[in-house]
Amino acid sequence: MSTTADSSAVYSGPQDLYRKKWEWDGVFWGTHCVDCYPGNCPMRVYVKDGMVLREEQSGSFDTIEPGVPDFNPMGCQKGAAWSQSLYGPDRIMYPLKRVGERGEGRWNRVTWDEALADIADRIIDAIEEDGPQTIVHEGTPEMATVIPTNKFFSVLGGHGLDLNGSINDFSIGLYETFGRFSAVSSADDWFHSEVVLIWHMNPVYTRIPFYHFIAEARYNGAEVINISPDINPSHVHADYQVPINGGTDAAFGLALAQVMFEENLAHWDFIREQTDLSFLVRTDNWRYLRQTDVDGGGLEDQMYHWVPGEGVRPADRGSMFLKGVDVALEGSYDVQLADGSTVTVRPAFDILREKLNREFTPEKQQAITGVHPDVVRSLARKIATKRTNIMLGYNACKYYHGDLMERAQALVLAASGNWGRKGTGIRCWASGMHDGAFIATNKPGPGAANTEIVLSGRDAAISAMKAFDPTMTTEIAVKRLGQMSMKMQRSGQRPGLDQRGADEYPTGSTSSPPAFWWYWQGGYNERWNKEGWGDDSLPRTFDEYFQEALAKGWWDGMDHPRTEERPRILIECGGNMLRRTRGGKTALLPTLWPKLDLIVSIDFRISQTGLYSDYILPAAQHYEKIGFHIPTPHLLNLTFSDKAAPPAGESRNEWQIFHALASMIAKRARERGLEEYNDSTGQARRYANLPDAYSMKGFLLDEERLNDEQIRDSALAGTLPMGTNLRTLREKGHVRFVDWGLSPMALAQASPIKPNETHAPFRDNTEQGTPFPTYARRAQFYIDHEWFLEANEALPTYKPNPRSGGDYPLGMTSGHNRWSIHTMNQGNWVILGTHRGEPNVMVNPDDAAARGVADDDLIRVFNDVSSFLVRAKVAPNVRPGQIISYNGWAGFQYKDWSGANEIEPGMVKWIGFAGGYGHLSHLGAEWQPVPADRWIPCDFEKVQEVHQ
Amino acid sequence: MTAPTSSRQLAWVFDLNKCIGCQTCSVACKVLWTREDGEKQQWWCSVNTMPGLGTPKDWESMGGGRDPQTGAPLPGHQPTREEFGGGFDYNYEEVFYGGTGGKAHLEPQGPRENRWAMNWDEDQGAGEWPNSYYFYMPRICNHCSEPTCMEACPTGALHKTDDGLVLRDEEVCMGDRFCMEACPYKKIYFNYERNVSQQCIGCFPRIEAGVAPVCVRQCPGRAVFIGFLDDAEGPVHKLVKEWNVALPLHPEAGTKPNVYYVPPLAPHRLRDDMSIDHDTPRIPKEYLESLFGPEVHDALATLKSEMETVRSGGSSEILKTLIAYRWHELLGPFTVDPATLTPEPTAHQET
Amino acid sequence: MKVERVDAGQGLADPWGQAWSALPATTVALNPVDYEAQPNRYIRAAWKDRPYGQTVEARVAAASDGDRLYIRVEWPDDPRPNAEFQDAASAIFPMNGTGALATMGDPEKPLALWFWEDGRPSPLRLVSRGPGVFRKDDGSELSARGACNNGAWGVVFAGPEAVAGKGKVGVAIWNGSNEERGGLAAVSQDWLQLETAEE
Repeated sequence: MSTTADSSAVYSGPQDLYRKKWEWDGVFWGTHCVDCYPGNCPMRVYVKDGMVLREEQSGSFDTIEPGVPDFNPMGCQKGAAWSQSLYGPDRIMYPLKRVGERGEGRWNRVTWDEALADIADRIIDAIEEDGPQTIVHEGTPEMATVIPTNKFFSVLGGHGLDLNGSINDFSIGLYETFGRFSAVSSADDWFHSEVVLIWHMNPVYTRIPFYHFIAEARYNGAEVINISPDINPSHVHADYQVPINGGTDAAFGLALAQVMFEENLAHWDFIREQTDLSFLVRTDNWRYLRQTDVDGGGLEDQMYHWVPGEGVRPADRGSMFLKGVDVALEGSYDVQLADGSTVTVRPAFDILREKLNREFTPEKQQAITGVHPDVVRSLARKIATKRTNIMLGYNACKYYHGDLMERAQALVLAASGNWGRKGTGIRCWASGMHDGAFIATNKPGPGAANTEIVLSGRDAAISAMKAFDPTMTTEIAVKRLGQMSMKMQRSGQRPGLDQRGADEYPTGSTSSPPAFWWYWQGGYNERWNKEGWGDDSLPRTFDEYFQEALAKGWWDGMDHPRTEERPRILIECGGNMLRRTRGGKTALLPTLWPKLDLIVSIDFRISQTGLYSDYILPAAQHYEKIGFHIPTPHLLNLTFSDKAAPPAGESRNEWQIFHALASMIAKRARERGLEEYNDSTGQARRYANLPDAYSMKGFLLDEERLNDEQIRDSALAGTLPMGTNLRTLREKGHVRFVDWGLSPMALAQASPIKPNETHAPFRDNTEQGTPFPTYARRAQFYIDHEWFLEANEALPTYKPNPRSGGDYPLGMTSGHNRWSIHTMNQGNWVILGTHRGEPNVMVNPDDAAARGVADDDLIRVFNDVSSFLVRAKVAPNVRPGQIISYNGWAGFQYKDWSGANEIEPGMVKWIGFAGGYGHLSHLGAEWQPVPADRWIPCDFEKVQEVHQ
Repeated sequence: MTAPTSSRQLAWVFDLNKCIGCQTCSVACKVLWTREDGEKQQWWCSVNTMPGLGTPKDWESMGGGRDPQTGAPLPGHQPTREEFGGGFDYNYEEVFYGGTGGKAHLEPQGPRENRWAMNWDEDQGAGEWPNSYYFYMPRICNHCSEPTCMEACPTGALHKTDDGLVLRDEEVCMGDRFCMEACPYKKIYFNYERNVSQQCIGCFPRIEAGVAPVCVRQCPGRAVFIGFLDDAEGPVHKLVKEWNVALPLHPEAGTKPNVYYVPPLAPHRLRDDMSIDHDTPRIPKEYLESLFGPEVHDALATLKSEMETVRSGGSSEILKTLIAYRWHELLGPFTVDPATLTPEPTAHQET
Repeated sequence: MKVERVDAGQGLADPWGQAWSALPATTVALNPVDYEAQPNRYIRAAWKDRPYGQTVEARVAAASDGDRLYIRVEWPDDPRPNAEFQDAASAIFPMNGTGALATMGDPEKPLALWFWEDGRPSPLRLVSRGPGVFRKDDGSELSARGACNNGAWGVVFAGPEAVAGKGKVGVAIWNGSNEERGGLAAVSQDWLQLETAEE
């Protein structure tokens, strides 16, 4: 290139100052292995003299599908400044022990041995007095953290809280409909869309590396519609903005469907095959017509169609294809039951249509949503005729009735035939694929032979399930096995998918949805039963539903720790319970904290929870250890992060920390003459075995080998190309998956991975007729679970936001901010320079003026739960009556260390406790009660300040 | 004044219909170039929400540039430390280790009143809900063809390189800051520690190695093109010279800037009854004209008609160019991967 | 102006020290640096109707310890605050025998400036070829100290006797409160002849 030669002469001279700034002596692959999705951005980490200098996106992706833009250069501002948090002032360099009261902020520097000996002693005390299940952890999705943490709790016999039940990244309504954790297209598939509905997502903030596919889809002919109460940042490149009343999206979605049905634009055959709307429902009890009704025996989940001229016909449980059979969507039919009685049945669609015409015409929805009927009609016509993609974040699900919103969104797609094709669908997040990460750390021993033992065990378990029910798909089999293993954990049995061969050490920890922990240990029973804070339309109190769920055994084995089981020790490894939990320290400090003998925070920086801990142990940062980001279908790559620099100060990676702790427990137990203890299932465990059991006799401590085996095991499991190993990843930095593996989240994608195509989920369903893993084995819009019927939620419907927190004129919404990954990077000096440098809430100018508040004034935001102090940011994009507190600030960035989560009551919708109904049965990270935090009633007032 | 004598001119095109205000360009630039003492509040590349007061605060009212009739440079205001704002210091030690028990929280130190920062008015915008409006605009040094900074400098510290960059010799710069006054874009910073002014260097050490500047190469929105204006085959030339869809910012300032913008579209307005108003643009025409001159209307009309063509099944060279199917299309001739320039073999470090 | 001979170590570096109070000082009339000679039309446009160089006079004294020449300049401080620009002063020497003080030299007859600025860690040696048309030169042998006292600046420059050269000195004052920098200064009308005291 001619410029290079010409330029060097021109730029010579005194400019060496800047050339020197762009010098390095080493380069490594890196990524940011935190709870970040998109995430997986391949970076190059530049190093000089053993210190990380900076990082830059690698830009190393090839084109996948010809005619579709490539993924380069994935990254964002946080990733581009990650290096600046490595040696920053919030980095912890050595172990800290609290002196003074918890939360007082006084620490002594101690040695690792001093810290570990004290922690080990208290762990032994807890085990000896109450059992190891009183030692509790709440996780983080960082693989380099979650795997060693889980391994430690598994060998110890401790208790884990289901992370997703705390953070609620769970699309409840999609799960209720499809029986799946969210299905996710690859981000490049967005390019194929013709209509992009940004609906409960703010991709301008939250999908920075992928957003370009939306902008490029628009240049490719797509229309972009942004649906949000405020004129949020994602409106900027939209063609239409729909400023909907907060929390009324279900009514809007139902009206879109109503128009498609009434204008005969609906994709009727798609509805007949893909959904349960063609199934018959009894009009006497509003339950499905079942084989047990018709035959007096057989399957409870065998439902029926009505075939004109023929009568009832059992729905095929093994395939959704109707193979030309015409099944009725409308009408009213009499059916004779096994007991001789006759019952009138109607296809679910018939009931739905009547409901929509009665309650959700475009005109009627306007009264609820504020959206003009013309907007509904014109949009419905577009959706019905174009490839439509709903960009859904984990936002709808954080409304109390978010499941109803998502069910309505799913109905829009069903009516318009918009899933199982490129450029269509609805998405949040999913993971999976890297099966080797879990195999390598849980197999009987190192090496491929041990991997084969695990793989053949998995296959055998699935085959056994399928033999039991030949209509069962692999996905359903895996989910049922997962649900069984959750139930079996308490009995000490080895779950089906967890075949580890005959290892010599007993392992296994228990886990539970945190809702029980909060209810019994965190003081939430008072909040959840408060009149007006939940769904007032219900006939019974919250506690009545809760007790019924327990009495029916829907949560057997997972309803822990109960009131009588005092949790003794909390170990937070990468987690941050006090910031994450809705209600925060207002809820937990007076209730849970006094019960805990010991709180340990293992982290590379000081967190809100760390400030209220007894010990803070310094962990290595992402550029200081080998690891991978959790892979997701967005990118379909395993992204490698190398050890670019040694851990700063005295920090250690998590494998080393937990191994040292296990060794210390063994040593101190020996010194106390203790040998053995029983875990909560009655299995005996030996203290002396803990270090070897933890490290697989040292194998897991070799960082290179550990990671190499994880990659090789994924290749053996068939999800990575044959021959992939640590060396090949060091060369290329990332590798595209070739198959999904056997995790439920990955199987939920239900499409083949093709080397030269974008990924659109549900193609197996539309192209192969593969059933959905729901109770009905269809995309299920009619849920005849008794609680759903009782709540009038069998069909998607709209319910207003409850007054969770009191009767106040404003609603507080949230969402991820632009500047941090949760609290990660909130202390990064570069990122702090890209905004006001401290928390704010955004308020509408009229609401501000009415309260005498000007921009940057200090305000107190309050409701019946609590209050917090924060700066007001007055912005005309905020809807009147709304305030926006973007999520991610650390509690200690607010006055009194009290952040916005302090006024969130942390309500869970009672229906999350439902069980005993096919897919509505707990599975790790999936079906469980999850907290709501959107549109929290509140008000604010100006706080008089004295300027110095 | 000495006429600049570049033989070619590098130019940037920022597509404001792709920019999402993520600040990756700003941060990448900062992490590479301005981390030293005296540079903390410098953001050679910055993104602001428009309309807004931006950085430095109210920069568009600070003068500089040239008289449209005579070409004479116009007096301008030297933006102050306070008007730039930012560069905050924090009380980490007090909060984490000070034993305050929550009485001290992590916050920027220093006076509260009139506080400002690089992106202070982020996402505030203008108008009234539901027709409020805003968009994002990245700014770097415009590397003008007729730069007033260079003309205003008494010491001759500034020069145009052969590639058209405006570079400063910091050994020569006396820190007189006439350049800051004369720059109509207020994109020059003062280093109070070193008593020199500093601004975007066009990432010249990367350019000379064939590597695109960080603001281009690290833009995850794929919203920035770089190239030589006279490269008739390149997207920069086509967007600017051929299709006229990329326009200079404040052309009336008369310095012939070499950073161009594809002007922003926006969602339709809503009428009082919340039905869609197809006739009135959400972003007032007058506002866009104040930024990009009257040519903005033609540029937007071109974009809209091309989008209409594509939506009705047609094809558009302009939109295909803006899509940039392959990332390298954005990088002009600067496609070298910097990782390949690592001096020694990148053998894994033994640990 | 007489260069008083003093013994080394007499505390000449301190502008308000006893050593200086014993030495005679000359009052020097100052004028604004020539407006028309300002180096570019930007500066001329920006300062067309704006006064600069309004410091009317300074008191100048000189001393030598046989090795280093000390020049002390004193002038009234403008108390108006300015966060951006600092007060500054120079002792000016011709480089080729003589030069134009009113224009701070020119390309043919550059001047050497010992340049002190409030807050700048060390003084600069500048070669000046016009108002503000400076080039930094090696100033490592220079030292300077300034302090404000009772509303007046006192600055003492010190440098090698040999550098002072041809026996002439001028001074320039920049009023930071008035945003003066570059060629925007008050400069002495005439050269002061440095008369070295007899041994």
